[in-house]
Amino acid sequence: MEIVTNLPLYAVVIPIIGALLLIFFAEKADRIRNPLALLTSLITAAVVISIIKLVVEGNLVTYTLLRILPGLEFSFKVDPLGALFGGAASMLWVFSVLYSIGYMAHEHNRKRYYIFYLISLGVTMGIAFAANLFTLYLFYEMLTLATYPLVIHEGNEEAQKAGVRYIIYSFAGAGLVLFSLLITYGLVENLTFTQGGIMGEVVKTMPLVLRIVFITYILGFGVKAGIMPLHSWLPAAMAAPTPVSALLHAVAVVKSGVFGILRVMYSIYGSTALLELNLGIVVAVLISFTIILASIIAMRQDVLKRRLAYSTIGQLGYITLGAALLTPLGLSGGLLHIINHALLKITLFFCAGAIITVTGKKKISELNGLGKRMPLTMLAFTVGSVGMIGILPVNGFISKWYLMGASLETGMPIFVIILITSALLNAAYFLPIVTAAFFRKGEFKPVRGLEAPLTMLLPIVVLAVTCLVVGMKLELTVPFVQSVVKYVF
Amino acid sequence: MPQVSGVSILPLLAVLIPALAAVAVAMVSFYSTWWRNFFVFCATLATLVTVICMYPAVVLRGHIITFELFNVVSPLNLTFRVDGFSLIVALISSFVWLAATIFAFSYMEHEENRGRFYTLFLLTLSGTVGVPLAGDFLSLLLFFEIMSLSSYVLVVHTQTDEAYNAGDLYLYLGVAGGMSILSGLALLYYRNGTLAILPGTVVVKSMDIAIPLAAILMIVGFGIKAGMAPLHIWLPRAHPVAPAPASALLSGIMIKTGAYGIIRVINVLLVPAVDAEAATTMAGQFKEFWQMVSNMGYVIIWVGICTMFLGVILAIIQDNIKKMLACSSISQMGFILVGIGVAGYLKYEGAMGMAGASYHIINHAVFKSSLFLAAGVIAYKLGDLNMYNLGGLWKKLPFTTLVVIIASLGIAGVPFFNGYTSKTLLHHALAEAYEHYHAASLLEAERIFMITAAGTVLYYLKFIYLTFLRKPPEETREKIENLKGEPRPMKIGMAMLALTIIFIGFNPNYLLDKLIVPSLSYFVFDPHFIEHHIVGIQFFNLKDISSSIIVLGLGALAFAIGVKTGLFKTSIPYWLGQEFLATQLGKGLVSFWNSLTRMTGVFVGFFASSFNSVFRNSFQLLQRLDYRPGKSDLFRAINLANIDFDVILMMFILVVALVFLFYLQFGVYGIGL
Repeated sequence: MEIVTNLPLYAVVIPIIGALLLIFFAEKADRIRNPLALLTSLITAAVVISIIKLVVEGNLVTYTLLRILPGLEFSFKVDPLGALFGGAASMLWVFSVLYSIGYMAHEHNRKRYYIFYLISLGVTMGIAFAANLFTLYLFYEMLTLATYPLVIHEGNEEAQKAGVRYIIYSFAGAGLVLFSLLITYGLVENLTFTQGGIMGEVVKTMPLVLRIVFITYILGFGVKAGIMPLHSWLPAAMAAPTPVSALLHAVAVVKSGVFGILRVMYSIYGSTALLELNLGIVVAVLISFTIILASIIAMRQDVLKRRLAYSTIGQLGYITLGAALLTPLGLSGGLLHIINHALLKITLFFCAGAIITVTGKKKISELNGLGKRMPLTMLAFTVGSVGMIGILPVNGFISKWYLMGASLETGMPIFVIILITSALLNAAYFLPIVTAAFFRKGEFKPVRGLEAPLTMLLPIVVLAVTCLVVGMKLELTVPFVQSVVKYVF
Repeated sequence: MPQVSGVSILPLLAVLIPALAAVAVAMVSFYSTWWRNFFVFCATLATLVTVICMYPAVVLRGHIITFELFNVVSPLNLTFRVDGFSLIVALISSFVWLAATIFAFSYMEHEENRGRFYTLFLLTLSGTVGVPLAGDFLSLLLFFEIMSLSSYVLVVHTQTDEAYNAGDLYLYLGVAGGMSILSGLALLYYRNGTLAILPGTVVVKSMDIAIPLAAILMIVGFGIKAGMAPLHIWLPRAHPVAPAPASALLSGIMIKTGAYGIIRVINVLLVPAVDAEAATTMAGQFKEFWQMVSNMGYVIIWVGICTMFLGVILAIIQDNIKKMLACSSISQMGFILVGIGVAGYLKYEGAMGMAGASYHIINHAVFKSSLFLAAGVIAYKLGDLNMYNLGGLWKKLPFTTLVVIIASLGIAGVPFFNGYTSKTLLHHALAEAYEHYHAASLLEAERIFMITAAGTVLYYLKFIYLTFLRKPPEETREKIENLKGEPRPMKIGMAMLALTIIFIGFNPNYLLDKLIVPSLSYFVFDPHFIEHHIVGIQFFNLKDISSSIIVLGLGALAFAIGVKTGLFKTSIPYWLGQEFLATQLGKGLVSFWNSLTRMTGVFVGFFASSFNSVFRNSFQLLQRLDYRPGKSDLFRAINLANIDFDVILMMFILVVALVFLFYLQFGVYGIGL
C-alpha cells in the first residue's frame, strides 16, 4: 500500500533547519550548540524510525515535491532498501554527534563543523529516500558539497590537497552518473526506482548500449564506493577530523556510493535484466580485485586511520560483491554487510579517534602497550577487528556466511576463496594492532578514572556491545534484510 | 539405533556458567583477590557438576540431551546435543580444569595480571566445554573460536618476546584453521542443507566432489588445533611459554577439541546410517560413502603414525622440560589419530579404534596435565626448566617426584597405570585393521607404533633421571639445596590427577563399561562386535603384558645406551629444524610479498618520474619561449605529474563516454568520420 506523507521530507529538512539554527549562535556557545545538534540528530532518527515502522508493515511511503517533466520528478519514496540505508545512517549519526562533542571540544571552527555535519545528515537522508535516479543524483552532488568543508576542516595544506582531490573525484563520478542518467532517460523516459527495473524492452533491442551505460554507472557511483582504481581520494580524505572520517568515509558517503550501485542494479536495471545482459559477473570480478588489493595495501599502512580507510575499501567490496551475485542470498549478505560493516567500522574509527585525542599517537607502531592506558577502547577495537575478520560471535561473520553461501549457490566457489583470503589478510593487518597494544611492552601507564572523555567512551562501548548483540541476536537484522530482499527480487 | 532425546537446559548452563563467571571475575578482580579466587573456583566446580548432572540421562538412560536457542549466533540457531562421546570430552575437560584451577591459585602468585588470566581462563573453559556439547558444526565452530582466541591470551600471558612470537604463530594458525573449517562448513551446508551432528542418521544426502573437499578442509582446520603432523609447528612453541596451569590445559585438553572435531567429521558426518530405510534411500551411494570413510581413515592412520613418530623424535632431543612435554603431546595425539583412523578404516567394525581413541583422550588429558603441573612446580620453585641444570629434586620435592613417576608410568603404558589400557586398545585396533584387509603397510605401521611406544619410555626415563634422580650439577646445587616443599593447592591439584591415573590403571574396565562402551552405541558401529570384543575385555592377559614389557625393555635399553654415550646431547642440525624452516618460509613469503607490492610501487613511480621529466623539460622549453620566463603559473597548474594515474584513467573514461555520446547522436559522422 502506498502512503502519501511528508515524513521523508521532514527527515531531509529537519537536520538542515537545525543546521541553519546553529548559524545564530556564536562560535563559543558550545553549551547551546552541542545539545541542539544532538537533539536535531535524535529527532531525525525518530522520524526515520517512524518511517521504517510504516515500511516494515508493508507500505511504501511516497511524497512528491516537484514535477519537472513527466517521468522527471523531485520526489521521495521509501521502499525497504532505502529504509535500510536511511535507518542505519541516521542512527549512527546520533552516536557520532555524541562522539563529536567529545572529540571537537578542543578543535577550531566548531560552528562550521556542526552546521555542515547536520546538513550532510539531511542530504544523506535525501539519498536514502529518493524516489528516482534524478532526485538521488541531485542529493549525491549535494553530499559532495556538504562534506567538502568537513574534509578540509584542518585547513592545513594536506587537508586542502585532500579536499581538492575529493572534489575532483566526486564530481567526475557524478558527471559519469549524469551521463548515464541522461542516456537512460532518453531510452525509457522514466527514472523512477521500480521493483524489477525499468528497462523493459530496451534490454532486447539495445543490449550493447545498456552494457556500456551500466559500466559508466558503476564507475560513477564506484568513485564514492571506493572501487579500486578510483579509490585514492578515500585514504587522502583521512586528513579530516576522526568523527568525519568515521561517519562520512566509512558509513555515509561511501555507503551512498554503494547504495547508488544497488539502486542501479536492482531498481533501474533489475536482476533479470542484469542476468540477461550477463553484467553481474563483470562487477563481481572487478570488485574481487578491489577486495584483495585493498587488503594488501592496508597491510603496508602505518597510520592507523589510513589502514582503516583501506580496510573500508576492501569491505565495501563485500557489499557490492553480494549484490553482483544477483541471488537473494547474495543480496542478503551484501545488505547485512551494510549494517554490520557500518557498526564495526564506526567502532574502529571511534577507537582510533579516542587514541589520537588521549595519546596523540597516529601510527600503529607507536601503540605498543596501549592496552594499559585505554583497556576499554582497545577491547572495543578487538571486537571490531574480530568482526572484520568474520570470526563467529561478532556480527561480521553473518554477512560473510551469506556471501559464501551465495557464491556456492551460483556455482562460483572462486568467491569463497576470495572471501577467505580477504579474511586472512584482515586478520594479518588487524590482529597485530590488538596484540601489540595488549601484550607488547610500552611506556603507557594506567590511569585512575575514565580513560577517555565520557562522550567518546560511551559511543565506543555502546557500539562495540551492539556489534556483539547484533552478531548474536539475528532477529535484529536478518528478518528485516530478508523482507528487503523479498521486495527487491 | 533409535535414541530418545530429551530437552534440557544443562548444556547451556555448562557453557554459560564459566562465561558469566568470567565477567564477574573481570569486575571483582580489581577489588578483592579472595573473592576472585572464590568465583573462579566455584565456576569451575559448578561447570564440572553441571556436566556430571548430564551423566545419568545420557549414559544410564541412553537419552540424547538437546537444547536449542533460536536465531542466536549463527543463521542456523545455537544448538546443543549431548551424547555419550560428547559427555566424555566435556567431563574430562571440566575435571582437569578444576585440578588446574586449584593448582593455579598458588602458581599464579608470582605472575602479574592475574585478573586478566583468570577471566580468560574461564572464558576458555566456556569455549572448551562448548565444543563437545554443540549440536551442529556452526555452533561447534563458535565455541572453537572462543576457545582459540581467548586461549591466545593465556599463551602470551608472560608478555616476553618469546611468548609474543609463539603467540603470534598460535593466533594466526588458529585463525587460519578457523577459516579453513568455516569454508568447509559453507561448502557442506550449501550442498547439503544441514550441519547437524547426528550420528546414525543420513546427514550427507548426495555424494559429489564437494563433500570430500569439505571434509578435508575441516580436518585440516581441526588438525591445526590437534597438532597433526605437518601442522604441528606452533605447538612446541606455544604450549611451553604459557603459565603452567594454562600449558597443562592447552596440552591436555584443548588439543583434544581438534581430535573431537576430526572424529565428528569422519566418523559421524560422513558415515551413513545402516538401518534399512536409509540403505534404500541411499541406494547406490551407500557403498560409496563407506568407501570414502575407509579411505580417509587409512590416510588418517598414516598421518597419526607420522605424527606420533615425529613427536617422539622431537621429544627425545629437547632439554627444556615443558618443550619435551609439548612434543610428547604431539606424539600422543598421533596415538589418538591412529585410533580415529582405524575407526574410519574398518567402517562398521571400527569400534575398537574409537574405543581406544576415546580412552586415550581421557588418559592423555590426565597424565599430560599432571606432568605439566609438575613442571609448573619446578618452574615456580626454581625458574629453570632445563633438564641439564637440574637434578636430585626427589629429596626436595618428593611429592612432585611421585606424581611425575606415576604420570610417566601412565604415559609409558606400564600395566596398572592408565596409559596401558588405552594403548592396549589402540594396539588391538591397529592389529585388527591389519587382519581385516591384510594391507602390508599396516604391519609397518604397527612396528612404528611399537617403536614409538619404546621412544616414549626412553624420554620419560631421561626426564626422570636427569631431573629427579641423579646428583644435581655443580652450578645449581646450591639453589636446589635451598628448596622447600610444594604449597598445598599445588599438591591437591596434582593429587587429583595422580589418583585418577592409578584408579583407571587398576580398574581399566570400570571406565570402559561406564563411559566408553555406552558412548560407542551413539556411533554407527556393529553392536554385536562391541558386545563380544570390547565389553569385558581382559586387559591383564599374558600377550598384552608381555608386549608392554618388550616396549619397556626396548626403551630402557635405549636409555642406557643414551646415557652411556651421551647421545641425548646431540640435536638435529639447525638447517633441518622446523623453526629454521618455518622462519625461512616466513622470510620467503615476506620477500615475495615485498617484491609484489614494490613492483606496483616501481611501476607507479616510473610513470610519475617520466611524467615529471617530460613536463620539466617541456616547461623549461616553454619558459624560454615565454616573454616573462618563470612568472607564469598556468603551466605549473596543469602539471600532469601532479595528477594521479587514476585521475587520468577517469579523464580517459570521460573522453570515451563523450565520444560514445556523440556516436549515439550522430552516428559515425559525429566523431569526424
